[in-house]
Amino acid sequence: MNRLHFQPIQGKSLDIIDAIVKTEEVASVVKNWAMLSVVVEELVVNIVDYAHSDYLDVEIVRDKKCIILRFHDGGVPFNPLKKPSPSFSIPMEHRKIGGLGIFLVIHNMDTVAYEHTGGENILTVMKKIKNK
Amino acid sequence: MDDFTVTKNGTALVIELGSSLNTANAPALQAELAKYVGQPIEKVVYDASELLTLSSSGLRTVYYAKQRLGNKPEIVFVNCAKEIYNTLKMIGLASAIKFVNVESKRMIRSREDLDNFAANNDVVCYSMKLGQSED
Repeated sequence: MNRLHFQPIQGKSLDIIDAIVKTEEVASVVKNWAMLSVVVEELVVNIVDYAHSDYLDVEIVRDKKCIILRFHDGGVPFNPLKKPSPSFSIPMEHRKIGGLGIFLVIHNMDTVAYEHTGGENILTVMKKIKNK
Repeated sequence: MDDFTVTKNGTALVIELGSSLNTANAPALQAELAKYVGQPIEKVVYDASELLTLSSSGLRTVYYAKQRLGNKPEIVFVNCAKEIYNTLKMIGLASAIKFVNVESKRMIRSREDLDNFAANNDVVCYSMKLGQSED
């Protein structure tokens, strides 16, 4: 398991994303690396921009079958999974932009779970790894 | 690094993307596109030949192009990888975008590429310096 601690986080999104996607655990998921980098970006940007936390802890667990990333922040309680999905039935030229990031996370990962425990927002995402 | 170039060709904007369109470079691309607001742009072409990752920040530039440039310009993606197409399809944009596959000029970047192209196509490649005669 790898555990990364970032503090402060304001204005540091790009550095945080870079550090996470370059960990051995994430970098070794070659087939899904591009998708995982998008998921990491969406979650980090969401936390840095909206959680009002001064820190972010990330635990990364990787085994043969899956990779799990768990994001802890001490910001205001916010469950992104309760955010309404964007409406895709509206023509592109009239759509409002918003909610795309968490939508991409939910639809690219096998499980996404949120809890608010010990004063922290904890978001856990898991992706099964295909060996072939 | 912005990792993109924008070129205006008549009423078309051609955006040559690098490997990523994400939060690192999408705001810069949107700022570049903003320079063309109010101009008669009819087509916005994303050359995605090298694109590997497209995040929501990158998708915002696609919405921006459609909603703010010209009069709802046609959006074209060239040489879109399956993963990128799947992302666009996932958010319901596939039907609003024209997808084109071309033998990209960006694929021919070296002498080796040129030789490979010549070997697989009915053409002869010449390499001569100025002033050099063919025989």
